[in-house]
Amino acid sequence: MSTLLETRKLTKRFGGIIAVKEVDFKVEKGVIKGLIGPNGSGKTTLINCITGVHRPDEGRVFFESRDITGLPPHRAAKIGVARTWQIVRPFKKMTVLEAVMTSALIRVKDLSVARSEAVDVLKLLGFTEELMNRRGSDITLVQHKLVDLARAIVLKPKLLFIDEIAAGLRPVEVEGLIDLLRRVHRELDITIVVVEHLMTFIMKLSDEIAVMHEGQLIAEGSPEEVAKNPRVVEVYLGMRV
Amino acid sequence: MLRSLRRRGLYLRLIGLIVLLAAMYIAFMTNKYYLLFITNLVFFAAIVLAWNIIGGYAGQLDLGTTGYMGVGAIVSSILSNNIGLHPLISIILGGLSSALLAGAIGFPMFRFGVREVWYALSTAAIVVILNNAVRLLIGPYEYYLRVRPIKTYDELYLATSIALVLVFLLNHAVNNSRLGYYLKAIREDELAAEAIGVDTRRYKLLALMIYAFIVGSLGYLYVVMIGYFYTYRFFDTGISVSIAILGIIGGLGSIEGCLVSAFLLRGVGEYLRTSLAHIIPGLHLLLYGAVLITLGVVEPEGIPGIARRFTTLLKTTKRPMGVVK
Amino acid sequence: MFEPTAFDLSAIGTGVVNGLVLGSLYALASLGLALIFGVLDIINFAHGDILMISSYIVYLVALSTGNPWIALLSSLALFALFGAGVYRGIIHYVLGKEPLIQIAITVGLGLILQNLALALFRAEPRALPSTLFPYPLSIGPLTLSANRVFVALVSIILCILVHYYSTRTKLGLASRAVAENREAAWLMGINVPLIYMATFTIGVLLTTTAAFLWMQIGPVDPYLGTIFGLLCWIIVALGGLGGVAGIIASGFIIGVLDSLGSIFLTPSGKYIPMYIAFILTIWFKPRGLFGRR
Ligand SMILES: Nc1ncnc2c1ncn2[C@@H]1O[C@H](COP(=O)(O)OP(=O)(O)OP(=O)(O)O)[C@@H](O)[C@H]1O
Ligand SMILES: [Mg+2]
Repeated sequence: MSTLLETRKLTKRFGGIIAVKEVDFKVEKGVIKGLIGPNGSGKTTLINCITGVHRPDEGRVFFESRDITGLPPHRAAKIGVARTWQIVRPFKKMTVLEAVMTSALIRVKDLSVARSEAVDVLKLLGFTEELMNRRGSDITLVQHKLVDLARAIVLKPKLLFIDEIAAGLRPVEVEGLIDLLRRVHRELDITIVVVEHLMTFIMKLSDEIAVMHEGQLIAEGSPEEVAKNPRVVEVYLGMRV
Repeated sequence: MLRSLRRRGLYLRLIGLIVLLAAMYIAFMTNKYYLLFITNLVFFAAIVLAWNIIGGYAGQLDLGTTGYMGVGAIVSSILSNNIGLHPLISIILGGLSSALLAGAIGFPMFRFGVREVWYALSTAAIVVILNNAVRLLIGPYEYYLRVRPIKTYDELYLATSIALVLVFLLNHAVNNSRLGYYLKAIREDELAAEAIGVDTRRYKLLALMIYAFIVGSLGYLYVVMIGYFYTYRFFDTGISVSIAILGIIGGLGSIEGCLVSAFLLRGVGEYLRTSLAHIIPGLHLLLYGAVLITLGVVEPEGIPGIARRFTTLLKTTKRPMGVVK
Repeated sequence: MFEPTAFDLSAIGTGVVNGLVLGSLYALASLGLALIFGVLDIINFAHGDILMISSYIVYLVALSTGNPWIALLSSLALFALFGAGVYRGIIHYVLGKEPLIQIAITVGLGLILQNLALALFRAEPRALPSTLFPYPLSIGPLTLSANRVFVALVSIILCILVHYYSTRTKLGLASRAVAENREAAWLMGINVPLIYMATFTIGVLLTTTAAFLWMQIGPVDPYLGTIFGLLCWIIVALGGLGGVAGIIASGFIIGVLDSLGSIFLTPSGKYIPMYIAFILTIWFKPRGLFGRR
């Protein structure tokens, strides 16, 4: 296995807050990696620093051994780093299909090819033809999250960050989503980093898990190891009190 | 198959537009006053459609229209009038100089992430600066066109109609291209567009320059239409704002909507302006204002939003009738 | 091009002092806009026209009653209703909507106000025949009209009061909390819709007061709103959000530029440096020259 992504001493501050503090985060090629941590622990900010949404204050980001620190988001997307948004950012006045097509058009030049690729991905995610032609303003939040996922998948990224997609789903749907993400991972050969608060989801899906707390990485390992790690237990118990 | 259907749709629309332009001509050709009136409508319909590229597709509230139009008008008039270049070449060079100016303004603006109100205010301020700069440089004079390539009102109407058809086709080309998809994504959510790989700065700049080119080349027609080139009086923020208003009411990015608002709303507005100006000045603007507020509250998506409501209304009333049958 | 007029120091001195007077009035006129933008996050392109129409009301009442104070009080009462009405009838519907919709709807409101004024009063500028303190006042080497001193003093005092309002009073603090984080403010039990309506109305009332002061030193015509609207946005841009001090400082800058520009440049030339300064500020310092946030 080779290292796909690596951050070195990544730090991001917002005014007085240190949202991400000297984080060394590594993702091996071909895994599904869980990223967990209490609210405000810096998970989203870490993703933002890697995908170019924020410029890190210190530290560097390497993708396929190439230094991509401070690369603008569209360049990151083009070299294979895609992401979804914790708070959805829908294209409300475009249809679902058009939104996903836009993303496909980054890779392919031809409109009809882009359309058929977008349709394929949307079908994979369970969209009916009728749903595909609805406008972004006329679908549910859960559907938005899936469109967001489709926009990212159709880029055929090497690395995909999924920021809280399972929130608001019913247990059956969570099971379905786990299967779906496994298929995406396997069939499209995408390395996935998934952020989620839902423990059952993370434990089932991930090959390994990293835990953040107050901007720092405090534990890493297999789901079992992490679950037993006393610091993690402390952080999560501390949160519950 | 899908593709040929789209093509057919485009042909139908194109024919519809041409028929409309011809019908307007036939209806008004005997009266020079009305002919000039509809020429003016057609001209500004083309301007609104040009605005649609930066404002409608890319979602940037540009209030610089008259700035780009004025620069194009002055450059092309000077080139053809004083230097004696062929009008067509002058038009293209006028458009290019507008596009260059737009590039020079747009590059830093997008580089520094100027958007929303600040974009609107910056572009409006540029018109004010151009107005005053030209007033300082050239003075408050008006230059008459000596070389007049278009001699009759009928020719002028034809030329303006051709311009509208060209801009119409260009809009369709943008709409059905990668550029169009990128621009619409930028309009909907710039950061999300970035994250899927759209180089937002580059495409916003491209949209701005295309728009400036069209508006700049149209400037020459405007000069021909009014017979002389005003100098600084081209640069009118009020007109820029009303162009943007028509584009917004037309529904951002809707070609048909823009045409409807440019012909219908502006038609009524201009009629009120020209016929009632001495009794109640500003009535047309009062009308725009009322329409804007009503739409903003009731149907922010403008004319296409209204059209969509109608079609869903028709669909839902159709069904029981079919059952009876 | 530039008209080199008598380049003596007293002209500059007078220009600067007049600029400071104008600037303090500009600052007051911009405060309402900044407040509405900061708390409601509403882009109000009708701001200048609200000032313009207020000026007409002040003018009309002052003319018919002969008493400027009655004019002030009655227009304040009228515009309290106007503010609340516009908020409930229009602004309320575009809270949180895309900037473009907000701009469109407020441009619509501005057009209506402007052209209503044009239809009712025509384009001729109108000024009050007599002002509050029509006598000169000597301060050191400078001679100023007492009116201008009054206008500047009242403007500055009101600006300071607004500063106290937003940092010391319950309503002001609550509205700042809403500006910081709407959801959190909700959870803290702050009545957000009420704060919005109150803030919008207070913004309009500040503007009405600025209109009253403007009528003491200048004329009104239907296009006054266009000039003031842009000017106020310039000042808000320069001042950045969040601070009355920033607004006052940028009001002074614009006022002095305006006044010196009228002395040393042609009437059209004076706008060029002002607008270039404005554009460069927006481009290079998107948070304003002095501003936080
Ligand atoms: N754009 C921003 N400006 C200022 N502060 C920010 C910004 N983004 C995040 N923060 C702060 O940085 C810290 C980390 O936030 P972040 O969103 O990364 O946490 P998170 O782990 O994703 O939390 P959650 O599980 O709630 O999504 C928080 O204190 C947050 O308030
Ligand atoms: Mg998060």
